[in-house]
Amino acid sequence: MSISREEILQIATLARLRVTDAESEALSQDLNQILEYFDMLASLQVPEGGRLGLGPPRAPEREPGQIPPDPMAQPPADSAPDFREEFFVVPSPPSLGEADDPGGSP
Amino acid sequence: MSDIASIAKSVRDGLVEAAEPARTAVARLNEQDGGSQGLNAFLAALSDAEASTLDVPSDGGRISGVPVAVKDNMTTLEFPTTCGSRILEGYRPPYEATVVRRLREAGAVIVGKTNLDEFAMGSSTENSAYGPVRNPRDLTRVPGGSSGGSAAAVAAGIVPGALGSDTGGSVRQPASFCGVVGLKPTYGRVSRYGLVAFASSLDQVGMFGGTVADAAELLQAVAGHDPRDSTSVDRPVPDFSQERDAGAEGLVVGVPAEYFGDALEPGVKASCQAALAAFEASGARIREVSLPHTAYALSAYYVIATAEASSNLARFDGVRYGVRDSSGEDLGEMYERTRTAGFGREVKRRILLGTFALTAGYHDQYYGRAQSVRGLVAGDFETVFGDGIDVLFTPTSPTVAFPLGERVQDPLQMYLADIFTVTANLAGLPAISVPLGPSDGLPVGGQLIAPQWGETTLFRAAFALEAVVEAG
Repeated sequence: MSISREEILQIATLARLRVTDAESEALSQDLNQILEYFDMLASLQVPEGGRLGLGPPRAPEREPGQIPPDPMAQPPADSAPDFREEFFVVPSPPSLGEADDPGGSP
Repeated sequence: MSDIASIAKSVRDGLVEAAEPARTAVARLNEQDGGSQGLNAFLAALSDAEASTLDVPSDGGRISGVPVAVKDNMTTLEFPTTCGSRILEGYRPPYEATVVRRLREAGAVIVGKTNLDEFAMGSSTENSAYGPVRNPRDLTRVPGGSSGGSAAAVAAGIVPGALGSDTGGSVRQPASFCGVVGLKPTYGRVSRYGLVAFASSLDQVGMFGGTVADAAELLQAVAGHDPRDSTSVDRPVPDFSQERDAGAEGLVVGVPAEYFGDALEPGVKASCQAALAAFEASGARIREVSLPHTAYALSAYYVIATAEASSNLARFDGVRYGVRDSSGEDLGEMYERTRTAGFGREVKRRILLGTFALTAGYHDQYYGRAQSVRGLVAGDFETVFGDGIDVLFTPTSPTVAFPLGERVQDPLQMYLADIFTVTANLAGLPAISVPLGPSDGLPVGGQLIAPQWGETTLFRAAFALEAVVEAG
């Protein structure tokens, strides 16, 4: 497998990076050397339906019937913004001069 | 500097003022870290004025008054968090990492943030935007990486312990190069909340200490479930030193043949063989084993790590964190200019590699294959641990510390420095590097690997190995 300078420029666009012509030349050499090493993955016989990856960390071990503690530091509703008259309450923009309403306006 | 338990006891017993060990650490840091021939191990630290006015309670906890350094990819309130990158220059997070909070709650004093390869991507700490770190054992050589600043700070005696992060060996390999102890716990044992993500399925916070006991003390302080990290596991935290005096008698140590091939430097091989002979003489049973997919692990690791990094680092775009280049004409140009100016060469290389591995035409060829290999590597470990092996012994790195500048232009050679450490990350296993006898005067590390959640057995073996090496 090899990667061309044009492909590098295309990938750089996807990654939101700018690469000059000189940089793309050096990157092409580096990445091709690395990809050549990675190509050993293709030579491995992988069993059909074999395990993929590691999976998530094991679930907590608990006694039967034991109720786990609430993992949230605070209930989600406590983090929600205030709601008044069918609108979310947000701080007033300073330009509207509502400095006497520290709680904001809906 | 004394060991962690002795410092904490002296503070708790009132023999030493609680802030004194931190002041000593800051004085040593000022002596050794600055100047053209300094270590450059710290990116931020307490000033003399701050150290002189420190108010530290003497009854703060298990590690009262112990000065600790923290790798600069963990968020702190009192210091900036740069990840060794220009893109986060001067960035002050609004929250601190769980491990940092737990250290403070246990009585530790955070004396500074340590230098690292940018976003923890590297094996020599030469990729930092703030200059390379020097190895205190030989100032012309690298300290390893990516947690080279933390390893150097402990090896130089500035602090007795430090935190690092280990995605593919970034704690164990620098520990080996600097002659200190480096631990990577089981994935999920320690919270990653506040650790800036590089490769989330591989990253784990690790510990450096001058001794095995120091590493155990730090793990004891920070381990345990954290509801803020969905990958931290709610399991009981054992006393990691409970088998400290159990010795090696009856311990079954597996030696995987794949780790002792041609890539290993003769001096490193000789140190490992001498340690194994001493281990056996002290009562351990040594058995040769096979981990047949080891040869594929490094490729799989770099495909997975770069793929995850390309996603994780997408958030650094000039909008929410750090610096911004807004000289462009639109939002897209701002993203590109900020990222192009903010990221260093190795980070860009890995983002491009990871983006390539995930593109539609190559996903199955690289990322899909790498995930299959990850499963096979984990299966290899399960087979040997299911066959009566308590711990595995391998070299930590195939070489001793190499000269500064030797590999920085050759990324593949740099990646090969991780060849013996990435397997434990792929399988989520705990592993520790313990100093062995030196090779040509340079430190060599031996790696012990245990089954998932087997830190107690891992520490038993590490205490025993440390004792036989010291006795030899």
